[in-house]
Amino acid sequence: MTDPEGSDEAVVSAVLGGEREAFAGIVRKYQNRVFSLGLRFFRNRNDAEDYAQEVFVRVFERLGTFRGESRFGTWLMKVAYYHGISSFRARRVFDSLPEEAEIPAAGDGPEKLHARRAAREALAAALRELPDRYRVCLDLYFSFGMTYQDVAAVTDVPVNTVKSHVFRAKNILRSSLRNTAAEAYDDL
Amino acid sequence: MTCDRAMEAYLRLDRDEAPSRELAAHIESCPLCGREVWGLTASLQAFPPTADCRPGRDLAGPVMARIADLKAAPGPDALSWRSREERPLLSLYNWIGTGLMILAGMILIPYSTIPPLLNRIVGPDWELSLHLVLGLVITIYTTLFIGSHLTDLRRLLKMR
Ligand SMILES: [Zn+2]
Repeated sequence: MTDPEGSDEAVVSAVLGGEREAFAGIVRKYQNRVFSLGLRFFRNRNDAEDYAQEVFVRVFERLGTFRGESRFGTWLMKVAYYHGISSFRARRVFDSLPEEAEIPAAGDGPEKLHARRAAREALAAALRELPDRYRVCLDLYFSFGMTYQDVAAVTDVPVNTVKSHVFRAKNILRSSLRNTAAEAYDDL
Repeated sequence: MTCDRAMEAYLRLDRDEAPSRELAAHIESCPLCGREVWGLTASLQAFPPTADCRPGRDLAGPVMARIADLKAAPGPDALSWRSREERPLLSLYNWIGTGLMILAGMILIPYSTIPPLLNRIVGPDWELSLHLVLGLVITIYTTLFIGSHLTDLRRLLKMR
């Protein structure tokens, strides 16, 4: 949720001032995140793309209500999250780990792949028993790089609830890493 | 600081939150915790970057085309993220207050001047007509409540 250019608010002001074209910058900056969230709600890329387009049109329409109480990126993700919640009727399960997550990035060594698999399996285990509402929280924290506060702001889940679910997931990851270390030791 | 407490404090840290001086000192000096923290950090950093999937095309073009079709420019009067038609007319507190008042009214009826009054107007069957009226009031209240909270209800059912 970092905003390296720190220019979102300036772009918003420009758009509200009548420079509609400036909004294209917002779309380019956030399209991957919104599309990725769309992949959680819909099984296919086409639906996720349609969803992302609708989210940006909504964001544009509601731009005047952005009060700067949270970062613009957080506010935009909240609009995206609620739009996803209200439109995913085709599927009833929020998919926190879409298939695309399986594709390793180019140049990943075996160690990184192993760490990645461990993290993925641990999160999958933590997610298994959680209702959708809290699955989204873990996903936003671990995969979208949000802070506790950001997750709470986007989903309206109390921050302490977010913290305790993340804590539990990290504990599962910790145990799984311990087990893998023990297995590696046994193999020696 | 024990190892258990150190690891718990470490796991509770937020993303990019700096550990306390005591915790940092423990991790620095304890090889067991140091190794665990190293493994956890590596795993969390290597977490699948699923938030960075790319759409098949640049969405700026189609989005800007749709925006160009919109009549009104965004402004302070634009709808808030919870749109106006979705926003309930009465807050939940008002609904609960009204419900409690109806309930209190029902409980207090036998102690009021209503029964003798009804007896005089309606006759000996007054109790039946009172129950009919109360049933009607509760039905109207429930119907209005559910009807005005359909969006929340749908969201709730979907999240379960
Ligand atoms: Zn220790």
